[in-house]
Amino acid sequence: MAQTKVNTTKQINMALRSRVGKSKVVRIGGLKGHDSIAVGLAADIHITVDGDAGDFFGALNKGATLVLHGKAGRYLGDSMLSGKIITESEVGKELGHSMHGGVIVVKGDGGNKVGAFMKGGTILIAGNVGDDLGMGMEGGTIIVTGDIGKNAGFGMKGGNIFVGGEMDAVGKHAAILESTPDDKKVLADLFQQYAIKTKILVFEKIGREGTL
Amino acid sequence: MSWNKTLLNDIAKRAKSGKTTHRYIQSGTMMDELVIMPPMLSALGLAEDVDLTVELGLESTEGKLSMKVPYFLYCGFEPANSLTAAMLYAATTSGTFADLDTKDPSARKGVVNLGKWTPSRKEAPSILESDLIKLILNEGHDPYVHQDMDGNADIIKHVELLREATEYKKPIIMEFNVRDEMENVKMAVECGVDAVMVSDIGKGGLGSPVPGEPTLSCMGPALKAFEETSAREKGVKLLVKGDFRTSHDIYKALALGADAVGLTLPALLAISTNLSKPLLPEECVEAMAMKSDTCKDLDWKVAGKSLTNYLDSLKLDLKHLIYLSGHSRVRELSDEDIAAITYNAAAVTGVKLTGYGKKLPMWVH
Repeated sequence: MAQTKVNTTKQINMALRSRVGKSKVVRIGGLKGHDSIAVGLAADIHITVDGDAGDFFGALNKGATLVLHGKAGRYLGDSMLSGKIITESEVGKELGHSMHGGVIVVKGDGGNKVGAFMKGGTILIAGNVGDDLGMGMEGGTIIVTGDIGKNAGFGMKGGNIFVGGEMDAVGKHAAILESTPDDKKVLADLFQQYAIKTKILVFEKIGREGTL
Repeated sequence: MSWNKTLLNDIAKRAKSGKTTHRYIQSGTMMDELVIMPPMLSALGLAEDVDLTVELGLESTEGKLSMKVPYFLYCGFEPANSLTAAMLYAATTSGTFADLDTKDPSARKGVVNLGKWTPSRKEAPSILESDLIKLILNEGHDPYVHQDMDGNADIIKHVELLREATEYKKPIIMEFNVRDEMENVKMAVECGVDAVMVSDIGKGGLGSPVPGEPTLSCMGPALKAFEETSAREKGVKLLVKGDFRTSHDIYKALALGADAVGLTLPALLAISTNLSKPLLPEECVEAMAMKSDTCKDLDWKVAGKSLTNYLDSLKLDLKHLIYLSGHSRVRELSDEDIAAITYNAAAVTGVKLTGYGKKLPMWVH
């Protein structure tokens, strides 16, 4: 694989785009907190990133698979449309903000406002998250294997949240719902697909109040 | 505000339905307090040759958008589908764009497509497919309170994100709807956007719940901010949405310093000529909103052609006015081409006061 040395966000993204259509697999090394890396990629390409990403990693993603071996800043996968983002470490607040589709998997802790205003897609977090989980979400699924902060599901209009750990009271317009056998199967399939090891058998399901 | 037929009709409607009404509240443009000062010294060539084009895009923006006319369409409320289609059609045919709230992605196909990015409603699919992007801040909120932004540094990051995601190929407009134009516009210029959009909507324009400041009053601070940030030298454009009614209003706004102006009510009225009963200004908002049935049977193509005709007539007017002012290009207009006939208009705009013959002292330093 050819190696190119680049420094700025613009250069890194240009280098990435230059590989689209030529390579199926691309590797970036030594990322040092650059913002807006691998954003708006509308391509079937697998990108592995070593190092720490800044804000907006994989935002507006439209089909690419991004694997990050390092920490990520805020707004990871912001407004993502499709594709996958998998991170092996902790992520800053508001990951998956306004996400429309695709899958985000975090093998570490998330911050506050995970999946806020999410419209669709799946967020799977093998760790703990902060407050306002799924705030204002309209669709999609959020799964957290660890503990969550207060106010989960505040103002949610649709979608589901599954929590495996400890949780405070849910937010306004959200309610604890009864899990179905289908829910359990979906979770088990996701854990298997993304190699998430958890001993938790019972997940609390949060949805909009008044829904089944 | 004195009692008039509109207010009486409004009370009658409320008494009948028990519902609130959304009506057009005229805030007063003050445009009539400015006059055009044509030296009647024709430029070389012909009026038809006057260049009206406005290019949106900084030097670093690879994909610039060339507007063939210095105006665009907008609607301060979510319009009926037929209205949306008519406005998008007319805007595209006239070589400009329409700034509309529409959730129907099919309405954006084949037209100059403006994608919107707001903290609460990010239209991600349309951003990637759009021809230009509008980043809207503080929709009814405090300017620095955003659902996913923590101050100016974050706004800069959002602009960078949109640039990167669209490969620097789309001009980015930043719009504010709050009161402190000066600080907002300065911040927008520092964020590196291609154009700044200011409007009187938050101050009482069409779609606003309250009558407020006139359109002109939002231009003065924006222009001052442009001067202080050397925005012109950087290539940033100023777009102004407001209560513009005629080609004369457009000319005055352009002479004041706007690069392009947003039209709404004249466009709605032009479209309404295709309804069984053309609407009055105060009826437009309620009758033409998405929830109304008034435009249900409106043929969008016919309505779009009427609107195109109207926009074409504005184009001819503007060319002629600019020609009579001794200019051959719209960007040659300056505040020397207009004057204020009232003290208030001179104070708000900073143009010279007729009779006094110069700018008021407060604008000199």
